Amino acid sequence: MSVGLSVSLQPANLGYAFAGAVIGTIVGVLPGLGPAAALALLLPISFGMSPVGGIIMLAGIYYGAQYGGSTTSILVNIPGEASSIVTTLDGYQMARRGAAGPALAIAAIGSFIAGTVGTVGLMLLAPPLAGFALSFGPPEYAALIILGFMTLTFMAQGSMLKALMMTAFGLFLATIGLDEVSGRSRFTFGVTELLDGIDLVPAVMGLFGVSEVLVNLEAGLRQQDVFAQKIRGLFPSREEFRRSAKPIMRGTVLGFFLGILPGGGSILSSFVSYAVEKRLSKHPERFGTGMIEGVAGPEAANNAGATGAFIPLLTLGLPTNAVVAMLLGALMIHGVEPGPLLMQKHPEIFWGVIFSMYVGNVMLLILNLPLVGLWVRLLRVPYPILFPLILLFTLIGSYSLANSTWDIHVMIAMGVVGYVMRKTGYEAAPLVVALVLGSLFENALRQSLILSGGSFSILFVRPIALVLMVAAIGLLLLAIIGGARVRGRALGLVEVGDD
Amino acid sequence: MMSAGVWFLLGVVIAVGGSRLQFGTWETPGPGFLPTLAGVALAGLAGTVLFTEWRAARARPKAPATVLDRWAVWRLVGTVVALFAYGLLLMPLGFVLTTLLVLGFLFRCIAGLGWVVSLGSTVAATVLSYVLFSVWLKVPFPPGPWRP
Repeated sequence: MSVGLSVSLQPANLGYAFAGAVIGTIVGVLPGLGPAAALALLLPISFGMSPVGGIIMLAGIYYGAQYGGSTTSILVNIPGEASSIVTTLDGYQMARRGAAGPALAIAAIGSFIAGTVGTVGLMLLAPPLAGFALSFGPPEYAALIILGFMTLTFMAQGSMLKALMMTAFGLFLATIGLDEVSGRSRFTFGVTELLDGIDLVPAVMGLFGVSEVLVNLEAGLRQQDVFAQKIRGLFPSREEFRRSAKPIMRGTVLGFFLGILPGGGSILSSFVSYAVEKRLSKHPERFGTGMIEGVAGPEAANNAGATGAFIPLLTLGLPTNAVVAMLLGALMIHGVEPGPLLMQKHPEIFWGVIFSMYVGNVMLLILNLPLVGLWVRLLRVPYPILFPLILLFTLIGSYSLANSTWDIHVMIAMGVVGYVMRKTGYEAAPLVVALVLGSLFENALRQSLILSGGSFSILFVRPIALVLMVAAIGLLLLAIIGGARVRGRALGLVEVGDD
Repeated sequence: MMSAGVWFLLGVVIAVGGSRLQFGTWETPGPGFLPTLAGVALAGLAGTVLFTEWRAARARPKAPATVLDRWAVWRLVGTVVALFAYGLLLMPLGFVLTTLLVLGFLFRCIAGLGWVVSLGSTVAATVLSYVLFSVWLKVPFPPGPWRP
């Protein structure tokens, strides 16, 4: 460990950590350019660096992007990447009420706490937790994703049935393209670009970013139609700090353990955190209107999840998402093979990366907190000037994914779909999560049915899967009962406070 | 209610399309397995929503339809057309020219800004985005008719 500390504090490596943090923050802020795109663009730059320096910089970009992704979620309702989607639900509403500063500050502080605690967890728990993750088979993954879908249903602001409909539609969208098992094309209609399916980034930018602009354009172009005229203090009040403390702690723990799991753990962690905070709140009906708990918990969860994702990478050589897979590629290009022997063969890399994450988190907090004022000033830009810039960034972001105008058209089409969905009371979040997890869910479900000979009981006989399915059914029942109570109150059948 | 009807029809189409892709069996699900299930779920849930909304509509007085004012329609349609035009023109005209044209349209015709502000904002945004994305982040934008 002392080797790692000394490696991480070397001036060159401090510089790489800072560069990674700055680049990652900027990339996270820019709509459309997520950490995956940034890593892909900057991977060649790391070739000229030492293995430790290169990985430290790339890792800095990864968790820096987590910080930055929340900025656009809060300011303009465009999630920087999938794990920032949840932040738009309450963070953007806080910005509209003039509380963008506190939202951004709590997101930065929560991310710092979660990242630091997550790094400690990484250091202490890496080998045993990685082993636990290995015990997840197809039924466990299928059950975990079902839990994720039910979490979204529970979180739905409007109709539970409509949320489930969007989940089903998102699962369908996830099947477009080549079937991984049979190689057969599905719903491509002869369009070559559809063989790779619907890319998440343009879909998210369209459903959230473009649709938001269209809704605002319909309402009018006066600044006060979009954002509160008065933007209040830049930092949270004492009350807001108090309300954020427990969500940050809960989000950190949830995010860290879910981030270890392959296939979207860090995305799920932010949604699960939101659902937990809503469930524990005394005013769950206010979620979606600008509750700071709805920002603090998920932001902590997604940063802790990003840290937890390093455990399988460093200890087993197992990447848990596309971004971490690129880090794996970078390690291998530098001649380092991650896995159980990394700690013995290259302790300077293993511990150097871990300690640089401490350093990186401090740098990110120092970098982001003073910038809160700068980001908030963006909201003072008159909306008639702001919205074309937002659209330009989404156009460039879509194009830059694959240097193809196809993604631009996908984004615009999803933007129109998102606008119509919002006008008719359908939420985009369940659709997006189903799109992200659909492929993993399909593979897990098909493999589970093959294992069980066609019986769904496999989801209920394996202990981990059983626990997850019970939790999923419990959430569904809670959502049904909650909906019934709301209807009952509306009809005067249930006393207010009868909880 | 109309939206639920549309989702119902879409669910049916998806389910039919999925069933043609080889559903397989429960023991060995095929490529049509999840699309068919998703389509059936979508149609079933949409049908339920349709039924409940129809029942609720019968029970309450008919609300006046919401009509968008023509300027709102112009802003919406104009913006969507401009975005599609960007996608179509980007390759033949290149990044700089396409961005100038589309941003100029958005600033002047949709946002309703004056000529000077529109022109200034268009040029500034195009230059800054070119420097940020093309020069610094090395995004390979199409050069348009000025390719070497």
